[in-house]
Amino acid sequence: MCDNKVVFEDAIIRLEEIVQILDDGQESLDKSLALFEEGVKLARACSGILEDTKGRVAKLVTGADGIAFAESLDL
Amino acid sequence: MARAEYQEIPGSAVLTVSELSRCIRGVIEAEELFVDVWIRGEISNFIKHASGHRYFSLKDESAVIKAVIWANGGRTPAASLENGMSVLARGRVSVYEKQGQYQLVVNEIVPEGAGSLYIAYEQLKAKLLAEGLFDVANKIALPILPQTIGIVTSATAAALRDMVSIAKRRFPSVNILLIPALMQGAGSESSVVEAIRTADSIPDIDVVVVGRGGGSIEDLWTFNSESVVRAIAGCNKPIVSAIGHETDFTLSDMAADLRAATPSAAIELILPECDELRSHVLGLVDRMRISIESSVERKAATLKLLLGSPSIRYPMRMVENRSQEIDILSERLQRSFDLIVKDAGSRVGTATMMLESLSPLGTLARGYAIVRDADTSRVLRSVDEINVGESIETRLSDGRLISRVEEVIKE
Repeated sequence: MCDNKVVFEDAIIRLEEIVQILDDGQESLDKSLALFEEGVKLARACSGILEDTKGRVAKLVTGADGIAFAESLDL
Repeated sequence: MARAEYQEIPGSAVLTVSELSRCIRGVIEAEELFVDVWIRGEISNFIKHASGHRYFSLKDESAVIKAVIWANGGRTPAASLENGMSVLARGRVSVYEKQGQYQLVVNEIVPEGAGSLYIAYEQLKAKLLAEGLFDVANKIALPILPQTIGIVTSATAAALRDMVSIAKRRFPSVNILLIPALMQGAGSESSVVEAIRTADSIPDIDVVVVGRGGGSIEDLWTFNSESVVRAIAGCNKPIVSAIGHETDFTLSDMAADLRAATPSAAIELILPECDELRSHVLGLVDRMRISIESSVERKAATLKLLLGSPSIRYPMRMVENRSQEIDILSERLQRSFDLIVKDAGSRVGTATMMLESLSPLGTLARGYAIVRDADTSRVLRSVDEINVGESIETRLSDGRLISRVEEVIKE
């Protein structure tokens, strides 16, 4: 879960970059097609993350031993 | 201007009432002490005029001063002003010439209880502002998609429930970690400070919200305390403040990276809508597809143009052109060769003629003859070389004569 945010942020930034490069249309066809392929993969990764619904709600509790832990919270 | 007039009037001159009033006004309004002054007093004779202007007196045990708040000229607390209320009023001293009355033109007024807080607030604000705690340059940008939101609030607050439900609706996969804190009253300052530091120290948390619902000004005062404001400004993670309602503005709001009007609004600012993000991604893919398609089309057009060029479409033309060239060249070669041959021929002719002119046959043709001794075939150059009775051979241009010498006549 934790690296999803990195994956998503990096992916969307890279995807936007690729779109920009393709929009400029300065790259060779080979390079463009490779970029396109990369972009589609990134978009798939992004969509995958967006489909995820396993969010968790928790409350930080400090135990008797002074160690904090997250306790699930139902609201 | 009024003051200038006052100085220009000669000592012996008689002033009109208006002139004197104007001079007094000039003197009072020029006094620096009166330009911005805080006054403590009790309200009496409070009148709210239909125009929206509010007139009253401020008094203490031994004195009274008239005061006015112009309809659009003053910041006043939510609670309405009333007679008997102890207040702190801030304003400038002016003169109402028509009644020969000096008065306080109020631009800020707060109930006295809150008043001291208010002054403390203003002082702290000025101090922290000077320190750069509210600088826009220090604001941290929110992440595009936070995975975990740390919420500093009271575990029992309705605000928490609102925030969680909005978060779940906008982005089901988001994690929420509540860091419980006392949000008002005794001990709340240190509790909030502690909770903010805890939230800041948990690596999973991408963004922190400090939120609570509306309340009295005293309830919200925790968020004007120096320690809380500093904790917010010092938070290394992006931090969003959502204190009270839209109209409540605390120093915490100014120190936060982003101020939300309400706790619910904070979540809306932090979390993109999943659907929105999804369509953004799809939009990017579309743009990419369109770009690549147009790029392919452009390249195809270039290719077509190239394929349409005469040299590709009619390659034989090149050959034809070349073969024509070859024809022309070979023709020229032939001509040159002919010329050379002809030239050579004529040179041979000349040479032959020259040769012929040198040949004895030519001489013979012109009537000369070569005479040889018929026996020895020696060419005779003198009559002494032959005797009577011997045979000689006479060569003419077209044949030979063999004859016998009858007589030798030497000349």
